[in-house]
Amino acid sequence: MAKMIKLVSGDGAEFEVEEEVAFQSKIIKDIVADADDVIPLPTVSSKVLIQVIEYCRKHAAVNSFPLSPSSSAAAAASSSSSISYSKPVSDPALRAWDNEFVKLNNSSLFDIVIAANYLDIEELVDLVLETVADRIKGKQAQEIRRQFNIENDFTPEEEEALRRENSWAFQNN
Amino acid sequence: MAGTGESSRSWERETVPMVMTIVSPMLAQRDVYSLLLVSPWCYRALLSVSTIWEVLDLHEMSKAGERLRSALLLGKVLQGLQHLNLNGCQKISDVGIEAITSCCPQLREFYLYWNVRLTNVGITHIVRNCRELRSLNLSGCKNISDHCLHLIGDNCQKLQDLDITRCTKLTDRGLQQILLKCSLLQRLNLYALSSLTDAAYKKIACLSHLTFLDLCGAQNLTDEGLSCIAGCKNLASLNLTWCVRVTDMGVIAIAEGCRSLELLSLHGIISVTDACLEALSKFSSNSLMTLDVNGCVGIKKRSREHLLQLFPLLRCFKVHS
Repeated sequence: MAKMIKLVSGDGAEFEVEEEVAFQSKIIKDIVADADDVIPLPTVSSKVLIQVIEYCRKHAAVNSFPLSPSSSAAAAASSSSSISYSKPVSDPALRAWDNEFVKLNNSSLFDIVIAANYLDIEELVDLVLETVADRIKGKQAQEIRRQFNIENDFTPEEEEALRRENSWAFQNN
Repeated sequence: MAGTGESSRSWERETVPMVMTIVSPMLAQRDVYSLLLVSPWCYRALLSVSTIWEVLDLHEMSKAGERLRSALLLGKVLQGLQHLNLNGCQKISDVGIEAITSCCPQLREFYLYWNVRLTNVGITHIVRNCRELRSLNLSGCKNISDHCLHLIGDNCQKLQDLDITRCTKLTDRGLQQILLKCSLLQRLNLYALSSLTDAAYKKIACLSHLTFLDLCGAQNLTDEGLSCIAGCKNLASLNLTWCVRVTDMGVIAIAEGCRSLELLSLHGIISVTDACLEALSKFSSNSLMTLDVNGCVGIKKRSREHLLQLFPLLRCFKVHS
């Protein structure tokens, strides 16, 4: 019988998950090492936690039966650097699943970024960050505001001053 | 998630800035600066992410001087700058160098390739302000002289990587200062410094950590000098292209002394023979991956097949300069 861990979301919902699923989160792995099987996650809502558990469940299933030496080597290698992109998931079916998983609106996507970052689930962090980065790349500030539905809180003077100060960073200026 | 009231405020002021700071290290410089302009909340949040302010890359950008001046308005933020790339920014003068280095005491890597306006004055500012320098690229800065090397030797004890390619005013005296004082050097590029002699080359032996040495064009280098260089046991990459006075004796000394060679060029050296290849094969056959013996007419067996027999790991047969 697989060992179960209970995760409690910010809004009080409880989720029982297999240990190997929960351990995709380094934070949870560390806490459980101190012999606590009920883990409160006050900053994660149940809606987000459900999605995160879904991801972890899918990836735990794959990791316990590595398809090839290269996929487990990739998993081992990706734990080193914190800034680089992780090595791409080598199983094409899993990659396809991941691509479907991140077809989310901005609000849901951002919630998962924050939760995955907090829970330290490396592959999920890389996946969602890559998606966010793709939505930012090459856009000017105004386009980014439109993309993510952000109010322009600068006064026109402030915006002009900042634009002037930072115009040096843009090649075609 | 813009709407009215609390949820939209929390989106703008907390959620978005938090996600932007998490994603910022993987974005290109240009995208980070776009994010700065998105909202005051993003601006403030991003300024606190120290890692994205460690690298400034202006290489080959037009109007680099103006850009640099504007970048300096970020003042406090650039205190953390570690890596600055001004390769090919030919209009930056000693004054610009003074301005930027006085803001960036943490600078570790400074690339100034092909800056012909740089003089000893600029170098003085660099060495006085940037005490953490590990890597300095002065390739093509042809107006610097031996005095610069004195300054670097006196002030940059932590230097690991120095490129003085084509700085043709430099002489043995200047280089000796570096060799005696920058004992942590791992990479040294002396490409196209054809007036140097054994008087300086012999002192390369002082650099016990040296792994990369480029002596392309060292026409005064003799076997005696090269035998001293063989004392650098950790040498992995050695470029002797056009070192025309070198013979088997010098190369055999290298073979015996440097047993983990990965790259070696003997390109254009007519007086080396098959004997030196045999010596190299004896000691470095399990590490050598690049060997350039083009133009070595003294070596009879230099077809690819022959070379692969001696050095089974060979992948590359020409060193591009």
